[in-house]
Amino acid sequence: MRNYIFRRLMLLPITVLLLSIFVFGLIRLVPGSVIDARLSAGFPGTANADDRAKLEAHFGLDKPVHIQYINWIGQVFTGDFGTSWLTKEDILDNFRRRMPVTIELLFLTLLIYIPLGIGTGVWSAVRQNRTDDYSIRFITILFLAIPNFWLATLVVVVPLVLWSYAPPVPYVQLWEEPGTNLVQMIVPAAIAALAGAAVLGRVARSEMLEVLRQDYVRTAYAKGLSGYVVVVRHALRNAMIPLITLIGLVFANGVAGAVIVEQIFAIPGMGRYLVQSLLNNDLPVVQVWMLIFGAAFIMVNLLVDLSYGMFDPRIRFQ
Amino acid sequence: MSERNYWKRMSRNRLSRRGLLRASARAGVGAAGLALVGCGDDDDDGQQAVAQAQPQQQQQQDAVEQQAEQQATQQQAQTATAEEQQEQAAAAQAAADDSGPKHGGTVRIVMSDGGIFDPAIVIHGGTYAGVHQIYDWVNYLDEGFVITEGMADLPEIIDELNFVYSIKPNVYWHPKPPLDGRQFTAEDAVFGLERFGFDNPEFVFKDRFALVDKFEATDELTMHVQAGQVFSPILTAIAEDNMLMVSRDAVEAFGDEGLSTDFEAQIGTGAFMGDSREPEVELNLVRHPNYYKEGQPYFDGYKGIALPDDALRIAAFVDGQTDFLSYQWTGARTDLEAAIDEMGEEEVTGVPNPVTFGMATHIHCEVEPYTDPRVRNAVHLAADREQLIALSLGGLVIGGPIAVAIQPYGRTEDQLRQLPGYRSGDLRQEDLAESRQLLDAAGVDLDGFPPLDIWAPNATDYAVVLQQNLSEVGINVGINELTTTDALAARQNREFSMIMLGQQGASDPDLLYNDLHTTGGQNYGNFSNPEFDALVEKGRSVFDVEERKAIYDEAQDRLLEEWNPRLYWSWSTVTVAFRSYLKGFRPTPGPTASNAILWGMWFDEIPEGAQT
Repeated sequence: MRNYIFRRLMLLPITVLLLSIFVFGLIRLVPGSVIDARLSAGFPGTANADDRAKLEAHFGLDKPVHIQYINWIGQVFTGDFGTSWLTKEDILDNFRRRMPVTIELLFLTLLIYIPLGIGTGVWSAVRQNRTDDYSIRFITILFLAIPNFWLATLVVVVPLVLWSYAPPVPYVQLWEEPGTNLVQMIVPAAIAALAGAAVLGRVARSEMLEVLRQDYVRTAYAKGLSGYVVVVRHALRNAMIPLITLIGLVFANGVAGAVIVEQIFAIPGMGRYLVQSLLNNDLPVVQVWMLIFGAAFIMVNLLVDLSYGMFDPRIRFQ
Repeated sequence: MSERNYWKRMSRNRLSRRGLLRASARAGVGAAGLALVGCGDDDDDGQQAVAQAQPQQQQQQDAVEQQAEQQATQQQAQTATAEEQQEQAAAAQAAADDSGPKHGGTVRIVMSDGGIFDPAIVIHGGTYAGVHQIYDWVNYLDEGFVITEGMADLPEIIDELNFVYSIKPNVYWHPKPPLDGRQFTAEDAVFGLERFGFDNPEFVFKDRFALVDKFEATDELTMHVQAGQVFSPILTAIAEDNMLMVSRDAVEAFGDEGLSTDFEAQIGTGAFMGDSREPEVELNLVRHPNYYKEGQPYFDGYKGIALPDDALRIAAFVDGQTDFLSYQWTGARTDLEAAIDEMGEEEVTGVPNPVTFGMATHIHCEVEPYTDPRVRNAVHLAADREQLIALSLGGLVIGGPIAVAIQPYGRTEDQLRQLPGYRSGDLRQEDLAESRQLLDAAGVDLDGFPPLDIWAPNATDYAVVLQQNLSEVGINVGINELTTTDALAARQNREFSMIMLGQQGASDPDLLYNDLHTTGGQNYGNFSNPEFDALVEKGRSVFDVEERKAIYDEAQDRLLEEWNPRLYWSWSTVTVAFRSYLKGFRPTPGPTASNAILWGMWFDEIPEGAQT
């Protein structure tokens, strides 16, 4: 297992390096340029080639792309993530400030996602073809179909229309006002979790149905074990492998969800940082953002792979 | 009131709550529009101005004061119909208060936190969150773009090239190190204005004062401005929205970088001074105890709250967590209507606020068949403005060459509707007939017109309408869709025949020089006409408002009747909406509520959550 982990970790820098090249190249294909935006903010009609050249030199865009890449990746590997072209703030400082916010959101999302997804899936399987099974299946399909940006907007609008209520603004940190913070965060987390929980619930149901038909489950019932013990201790554990894979994906889904809900609910996290940077062609931020989350996603996948052994001792890492 | 009246039409344009859900999409399109429109130019300092210095010896110091007075009077007379005036009076009454100003409370305003505080650097509207409250102007532009005394009295005009500003003796910097509340002097004003021209690649206004030979402090409270050539818009340029005064002391203490990004470095002379900032969350300012306007500001504090999403912005406003509703983009008052739906009309006040950006179709005057003014005129007569602006984000003001907000120069919607090319009904049929005659006279191949370049997908609908309009007079024109970047590049490089894009206005009618003078920086269509050139050159050499108005009236008339280098459709305005318990609001030229002049506002009744 150590060798397996070592090999996977050795592959990480190579993957991240390839990812960095991909991100760096791809983002330069996006229409629009920070130079044009800056010149437009003043007087583009009178901006001359000299102005443009000075700004390009200022942002380091006067060099060939491969040189720009080498300079950038060299800085990143020495821990210097650079500064934002938009706000001129240190990107690392920004990440430090925003990361806890998004981690809290992701944590709350997981808190809702896992119990809701697995709970509804198991319940639905145990109550197969009954009213509650049909209801759960209907609701999960509904949440799969509803885009989370629409749901998020609805969650703001409906209480406003019915009760003239709005979520408290502006955002407060968890350690400053925990109660207000949770009120602000729980709804966005729930919205980010719902679609994923619906998928998890449907997969959990089908996996559980398959396991519940196994002989050893019937044997367990025959031995007089309670339904709870049979379902949770025997059946669910054997249904967990595909569910863990899915839960691993929640990281990516959660980050994608955070991009939307942070923007709608004015939460100053990593998702909003990405949106703001993309809208303003703030390439250094976007590049570092993609790189860090790419690396984090690879790490999460590694952890998911390693966790298989916890649920199924037959799995060996070679 | 006529249904054509813009404000009446807008006020009747009640939206269902579904409008809330559309608001995000509209705001997105609006923001894209602003971005594109923002690629315009509203100054011309970079050009080699060829204004002829025509002696104006009779110009006296009171010319500027007269200008202000005349502009204000004429604006009222020309921009408003009787019913409009009634509406404006109602809005003013709603914003007024019998019991007079009261002190106290923290005004809570939606802001967009761009994270840059340096007035010399502007990236987008959000850049300026709070900056207009922290810093102040030597002179500033009040409603109607009227030059108004600020930290200095209105300038004394010595002659066409020399102006003297007397700094008020009671202006003080914020009581923070390194300024420590010292007096604002003429040296400060000189530095503040000169700094815009410093050689920093990020300073975007460095050409603004290219025609100024020197700013000079002749004594502690007197600044002498000497122009290199006669240039009447210079006084407007000094008073423009961006011309906020920063101090040499702060620049030396914190550096340009610090002044740009460090909230602690924001030390100005404005009505409020920095207290705390949580990036992209909130910005807190407190009252400047030595503000030069006696007794002002009335608020104890300012809280800017960053709310990027429309739905949450409306919800927070209705719920009483904010006092301002930000601005209502290009007349699409969806947020305001939604808020009124929820709260009732008495609870919300919406006041028009002038801005100067709009939409136009640039015609390349050196590309066949548009080299012939008759063809351009035919296109102008065929275009149906009513149809075009009906596709907009909720209604713009039909516009001419100069923005309606720039008074007394800009043509109002009602005035334009009397003119060929802007008329409807039977009169439009006459225009179409004349258009056909012009095309016949020009002898052009109606199937041989080059395609219409458009900024896609945002302008696609407009292009289809214009295509249909032109087909009514027999012109068959294709549509060439371009990405935003390509559209901007095509315009910038003059590689188009006719292109639909936004245009940036300005604070002065001199924008026509930059737009269409042979050497104009934004003369994308290479229009060149000696008579027009002479008119706009004269316009920038004259200080008297009446005389200038006559010049620009003639220029506009002939542009629309003879030359038609652009197809003008619309200019915009915005509505600033706030809770009706706020009093003393005055419209401020500029696009955002966070730029609003707040020093003269007060809470008639301090709401819960705004107590200090």
